[in-house]
Amino acid sequence: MNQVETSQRPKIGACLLEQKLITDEQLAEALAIQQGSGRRLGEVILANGWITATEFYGALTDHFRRGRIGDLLVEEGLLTPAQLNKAIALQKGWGTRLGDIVLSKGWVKSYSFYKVLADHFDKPFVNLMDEPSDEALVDVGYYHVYLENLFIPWRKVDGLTQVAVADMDADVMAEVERVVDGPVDFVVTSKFDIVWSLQKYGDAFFSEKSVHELRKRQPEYSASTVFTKAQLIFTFILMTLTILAVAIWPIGTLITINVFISVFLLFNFGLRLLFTWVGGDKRFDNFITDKEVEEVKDVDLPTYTILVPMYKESASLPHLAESLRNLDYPLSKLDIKIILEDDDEETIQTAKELGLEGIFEIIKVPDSLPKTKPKACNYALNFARGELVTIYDGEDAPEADQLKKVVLAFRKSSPNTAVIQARLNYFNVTENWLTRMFTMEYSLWFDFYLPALDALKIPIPLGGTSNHFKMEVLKELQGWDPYNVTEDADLGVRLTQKNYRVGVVNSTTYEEANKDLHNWIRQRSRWLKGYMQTYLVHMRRPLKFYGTLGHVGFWGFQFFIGGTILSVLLTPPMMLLFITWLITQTAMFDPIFPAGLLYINLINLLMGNGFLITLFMLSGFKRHYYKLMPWSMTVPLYWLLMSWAAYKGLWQLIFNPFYWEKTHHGLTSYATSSEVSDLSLKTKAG
Amino acid sequence: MKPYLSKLKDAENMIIVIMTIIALSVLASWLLSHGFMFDGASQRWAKVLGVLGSEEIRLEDLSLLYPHLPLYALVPFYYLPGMAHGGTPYFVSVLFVCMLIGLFLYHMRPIEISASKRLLLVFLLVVHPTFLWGATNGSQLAMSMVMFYLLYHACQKMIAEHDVHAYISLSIILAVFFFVDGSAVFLFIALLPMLAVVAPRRLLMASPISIYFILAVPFFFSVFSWAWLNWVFEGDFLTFIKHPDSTYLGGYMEMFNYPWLREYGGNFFDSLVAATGYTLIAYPVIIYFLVSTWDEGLRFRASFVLFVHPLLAIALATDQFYLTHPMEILVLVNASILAEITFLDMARKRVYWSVVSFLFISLIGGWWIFIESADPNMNKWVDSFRTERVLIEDDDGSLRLGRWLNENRRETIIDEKSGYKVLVAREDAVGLYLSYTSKFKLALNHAFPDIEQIVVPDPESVIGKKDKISQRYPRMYTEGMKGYRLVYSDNIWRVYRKI
Repeated sequence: MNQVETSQRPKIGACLLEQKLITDEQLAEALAIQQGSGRRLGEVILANGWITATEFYGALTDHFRRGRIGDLLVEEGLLTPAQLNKAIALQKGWGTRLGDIVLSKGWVKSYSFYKVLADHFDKPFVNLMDEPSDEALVDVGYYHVYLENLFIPWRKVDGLTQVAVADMDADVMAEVERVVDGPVDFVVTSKFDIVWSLQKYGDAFFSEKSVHELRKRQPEYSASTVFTKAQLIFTFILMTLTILAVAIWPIGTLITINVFISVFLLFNFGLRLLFTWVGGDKRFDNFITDKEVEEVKDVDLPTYTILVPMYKESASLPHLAESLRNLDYPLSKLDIKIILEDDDEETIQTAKELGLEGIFEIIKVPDSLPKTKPKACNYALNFARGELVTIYDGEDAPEADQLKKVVLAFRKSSPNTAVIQARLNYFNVTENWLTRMFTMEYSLWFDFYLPALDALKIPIPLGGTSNHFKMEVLKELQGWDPYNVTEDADLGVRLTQKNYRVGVVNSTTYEEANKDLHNWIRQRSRWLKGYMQTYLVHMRRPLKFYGTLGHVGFWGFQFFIGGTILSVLLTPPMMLLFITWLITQTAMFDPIFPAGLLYINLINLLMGNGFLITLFMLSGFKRHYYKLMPWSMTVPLYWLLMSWAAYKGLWQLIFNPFYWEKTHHGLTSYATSSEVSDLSLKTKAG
Repeated sequence: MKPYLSKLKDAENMIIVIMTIIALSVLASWLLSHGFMFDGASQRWAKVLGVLGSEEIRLEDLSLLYPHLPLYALVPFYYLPGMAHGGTPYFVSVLFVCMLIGLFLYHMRPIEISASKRLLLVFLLVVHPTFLWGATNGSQLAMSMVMFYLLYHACQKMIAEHDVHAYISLSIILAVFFFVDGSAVFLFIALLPMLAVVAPRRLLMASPISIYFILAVPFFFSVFSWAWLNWVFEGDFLTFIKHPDSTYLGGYMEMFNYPWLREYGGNFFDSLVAATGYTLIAYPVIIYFLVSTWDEGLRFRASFVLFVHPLLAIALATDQFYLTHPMEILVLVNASILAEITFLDMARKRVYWSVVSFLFISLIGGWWIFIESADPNMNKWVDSFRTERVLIEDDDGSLRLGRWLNENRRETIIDEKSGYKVLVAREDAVGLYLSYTSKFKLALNHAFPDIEQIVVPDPESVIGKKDKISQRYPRMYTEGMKGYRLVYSDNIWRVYRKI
């Protein structure tokens, strides 16, 4: 049938003449060259530059295309008719191309699919792994165009640049002609070949970009300098003056310091109470309703990039893949990047063995310093094609409708909303004391504090995962700071400074809570070190910062970010002072604790801790984790652990600021995706 | 249009609140100028004057035997020019009940009823004798009413919406209430069984203990903080419930002076029955709430709590010999009635006029039971409505002494616990050595104290029997002291000045 169709096709020359794209003379010349060289007529016409490839293939679409891609796949035995029908049905709902659907479903292997695609377009198929591109043709300045449009200049033959493409879309062809010198023609290859080739050639370029882009373009926001000169001078002067004051007016100075600490802690505690109140508003829990999610049309959903940075987490990979597959989002609109370090052979091998579907792409990050998650994400961002982008960790299990909720949240929010943070919680809640406390803390943080920060227009320190960005804004800000070990928190503050809004959404991602104390300290010390870095970066020019954020934003930042650091650092000395006094009943401290101050201290110690315990209880209560509530009485112990981590973080800030304390995942005995799904369903039902 | 109407409503509400302030202030002035003076109010004001007038202001000198927040509420007025007189606690009480009215009107905003109807409601609520008593007697009751209103409003919210805010508010209110009123402990305990009615059934089935955790922990921390302060400043965690002068003991130390305690003290069930009688007579509007919500599960639960919670608190407090008169807690019911009304569909004529009618009946029953059961203070208050105008009541001459000391300003030693009215009349404590000061204690260590003036009451009088100076120098009142001459003698008070 197809053979018959082909034989009945009008000739290329005639078509082009009919559409007045070439002249009779040009056709005659081309035919002469063709006879002499044995090349195809189209190649000769293109090589002479008489018409562009876009015009050429635009005019001859029907001439070249062989049948429909679905039929070809069935014909080749790669797809069953039932699968084809299902794919066609999905295509109507999702509004994406059939090829993307069959690849995303994993019904056809990528290599086979692109071979059929080449056949469909009547173009040669090349395997770039066996027949690599000519590196000289690849222009570093156009890497982002190659990646966005999925093509790469392949070879130059007889003055015609052959460009390897994953699709012969008119827009792609136009872009090819825009960035590639001279006349072009196309060969077909798989998108993975293009991505891997560009990774291979652009390793150094992408690495450099992912590490130094922010530092070069916006050095004022880069944590690559830990302390600026001005900060060091300020600290020196402050310490000198304090020492002098203590020497000259010991009691007065100590009382002043005591007043500062006490009032600060009182405000810090009061603010947390306020946050709990504001964040407890029902509207945050119903920001996006299930009904709204049901009503959303898949065809209107944007392409979504999901970045999954992993390091030595081969065991988590199958669960993660399962969680992502289960997302209630058109699979063909997902662009999932599994980001692996070049030296992580085990995880790379696991990823290969899993034979993941076409929506998964493995991005190998070349070895370079600093070896941090933000650097890996920046690297992968170069290969991202989504309109929206999010990050999940290896052990994450997001609620199935999270991406849809985020899309709706963006639609409902003000246009300057650049990122939406989902809630984080844990699935191994009751594994041990640490996971219980961690769960309550996270619930308080994400279910109460962050919505309150959003409502009060205070910069939101984003959580480590499940923050969903608008791609263009993220790129405008040069992505994450690779030198900051809480790059997410930093980015949240940076966004607010650039007049973007950080929003929150009522959807939860379940993670693995740290059950091992040593591992917990590592993780927490990194977080607190990152907070210190973030504080130092944004307080380099405090007046400008104040001017940008305004009163509420500035003071909110001081108390929420600064307060978190200071309160955990102050806890041990204050406790030591208190316990010494309690045991010895010494009158030594009396002069620096006048009655009024003693009152405030007692309020902080008793009422403050009492209410913090209640807040922890509330967080468990809201999540229906009733069994956790009695455990909140042990919050003061948890506080001490945080202080331990804070001092470790402070030490590292000074002596090893960019060191990434890796948190080991997969330690829990609870972690299976099915369990997580059950949990999320139960929570939703509750 | 909506913002305009909302603003108009706010303006109308503001006018109603201002009218209430003016009316209640005038009434309080009337009562004071017709001989009424409440001991509790004078004691509180004297305490504030004493501490703020000292050379060194120390919060612990406010004494840990009283809840502190009603004292703090008076502090700003000490510094306001022209406010340092004995009427301040009464005015502060008026302000608190007006805040209560303001809250009530604020919560009424979503209900579409005219300003005149709102005014009528406020009028009927305010002229209830227990409300007026709480508003004008200068005690902590006005502040307690505000707290009880918030407490009940939070309970209503919890019943109606199962909102996290309700749990947070209720826990904070209970924790703060302890610092407002000694009876908060009984109100808290009485609320515990009520929580089974207030909390959503689903929660009770899932984890009944959770609600107790959330609400009880802050309250326990409040009590613990107070005990801790007692330990820090007094050396004993339980001073506030051991010290005979402590208000946390209520009527315990003088139970035989109070008819209510004589009759019902230590008897839970009898006091419960009696309190039920008092409540039904004083607040028949509660019957309307119960009957009208009979077939509405959630609303009925709210009405049930409104009715039963104060009764349980009264019975408990009486059982423990704390409560000297049921009105001490029944006054708070006014606040819960206000809160209940904000949840009713008052826009419906039938509901509105039914409430108005029952409030009117409550007025009649309320005045009758108030007058019938009045204790001496209440009697004095009622009498002040009808007695002739007097400059100010001064049975024992304390006020005259205070005014004399104000004109004769010298270093003076006086026991402010017995002479609190003296302090109130003097209008400040500058130059006075009060019983908690080191100078007072040092002076009394000597057989012949070296102080310019000494104030001593008649040791045979009720006041004199408690006075520390009189106890230390029992013959000074009659015989004087070596090196001192008598410069003032009136009623039970004498002042000796160093020669």
